[in-house]
Amino acid sequence: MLKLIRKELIFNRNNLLLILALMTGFLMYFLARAENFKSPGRPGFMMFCAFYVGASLCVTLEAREDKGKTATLTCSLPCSRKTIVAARFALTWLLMLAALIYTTALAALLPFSRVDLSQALNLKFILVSLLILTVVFAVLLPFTIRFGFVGVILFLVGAQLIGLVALFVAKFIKSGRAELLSPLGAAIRGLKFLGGPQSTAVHLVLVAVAILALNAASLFISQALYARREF
Amino acid sequence: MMDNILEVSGLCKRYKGFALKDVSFAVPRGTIMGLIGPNGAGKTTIIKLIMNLIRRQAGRVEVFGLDNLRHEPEVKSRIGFVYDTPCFPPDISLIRIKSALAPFYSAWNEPLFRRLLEEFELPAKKKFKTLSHGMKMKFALALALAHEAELILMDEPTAGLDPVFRQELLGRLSGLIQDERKSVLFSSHITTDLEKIADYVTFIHEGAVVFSAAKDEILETWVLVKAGMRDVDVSGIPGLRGYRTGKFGLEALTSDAAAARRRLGSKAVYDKPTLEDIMYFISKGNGHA
Repeated sequence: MLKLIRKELIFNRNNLLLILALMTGFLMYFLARAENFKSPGRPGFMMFCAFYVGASLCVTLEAREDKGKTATLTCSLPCSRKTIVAARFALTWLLMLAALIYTTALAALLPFSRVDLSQALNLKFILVSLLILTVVFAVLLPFTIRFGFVGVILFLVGAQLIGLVALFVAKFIKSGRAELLSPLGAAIRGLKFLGGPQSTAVHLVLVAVAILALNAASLFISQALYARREF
Repeated sequence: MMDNILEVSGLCKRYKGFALKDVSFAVPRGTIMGLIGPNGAGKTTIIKLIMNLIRRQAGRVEVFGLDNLRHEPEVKSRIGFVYDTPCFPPDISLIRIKSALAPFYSAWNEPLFRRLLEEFELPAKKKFKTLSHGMKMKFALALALAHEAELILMDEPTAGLDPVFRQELLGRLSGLIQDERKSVLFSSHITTDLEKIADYVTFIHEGAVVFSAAKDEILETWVLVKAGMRDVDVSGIPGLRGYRTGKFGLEALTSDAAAARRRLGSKAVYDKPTLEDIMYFISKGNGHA
């Protein structure tokens, strides 16, 4: 699995360096101007962005592989398809971890940083960020792994269409608006609760379990889908 | 007894408008087998099934005596695979591609790889996309050879190559099997290449194996019968595989040279067919030219 991760890092070095440069620019701006942001959860937002960059990189790499038709090369290497998928998941988490460490380091070392690190490294923020991203990427990764670049497009178009349909229904069937929006509202309230002062250690353990379970399910589905993929 | 490095039996794969039907053949160790057939016959499908790049619907593939699915990593570590269009990342230099792929192979031979780069005049620091098709094929071959693969699988490797490198490649493949440990399975529709180096030939047509045998045996037992239209009745030619008629008379391919000679005697003349003749008559040869 380590060889596969190493291969991805070598093949995508330029791409990763470009993202790193863009991320550095964004973080420097954010760290310098943090006090001007009105949102009370701004350090959490910064962490969320860092995780997002890490996780989305993996989808980008997958899509690049599909576009460059190098997936045939990966699948002809001496490793099973299950290992290939497991390596993708491991790489996603590795990149998220790297993004977390990099963001923290910049926040701690840059003299103009206005972010309070003790707030930024809040376990609640981190777990809630990971939960949100896990939900998105648990769906997106199997799509990408099964359908490649087309999968990303399908996912994005699908998400847009669902959003449009929801808006359309909410607008034209006014009575249904509250029902439609209530699950989303409940989810947002739930996340705010988990990130807020009322949540306890038990809640956080449950969040961690949910993250692990979602990842395990996504990994299992992705492996089953990738085993059926033809090149 | 000669042991087989690759055994394919009862392989089936269906696509819309095409089916690979019950394909069976074996590649003995220390030999070169040519997989021939017209475009769309199923050659690439067979190679992809051996590499598990596509899923089989029935049949079995054993490489080095191991099932290619159950022992996938082990089997692939001993195969050198050269694609018809090498699919390495375009923006990466050759040396970086090598550094990413070499650790996958425990038998990786770095001095050999360096030597091959020099022999093939490959610029290690150049990006893959800047290479010509021939250079790309050379690089794919260098990678396949540098991990001391026991079975080299090549899908249409000579298509689009200039004659100089084609000759060089064929020479290298012939040299490769001299130790009698390694084998090559080489798909191509350029039959002249195979005539030069193949020990065995498997002919695929419309997804089915027409024959799989030693090349010399095929070229000895098959014969091209040429006769005047009124001298020979086509339906009376034993082992008839295909024929064409034209203003110069009848040309027919038979897989039973001895019986054809006995039956037709001096009414016809007999020529040794080339693999191209065989491919033509089986694919198309059943009517007027």
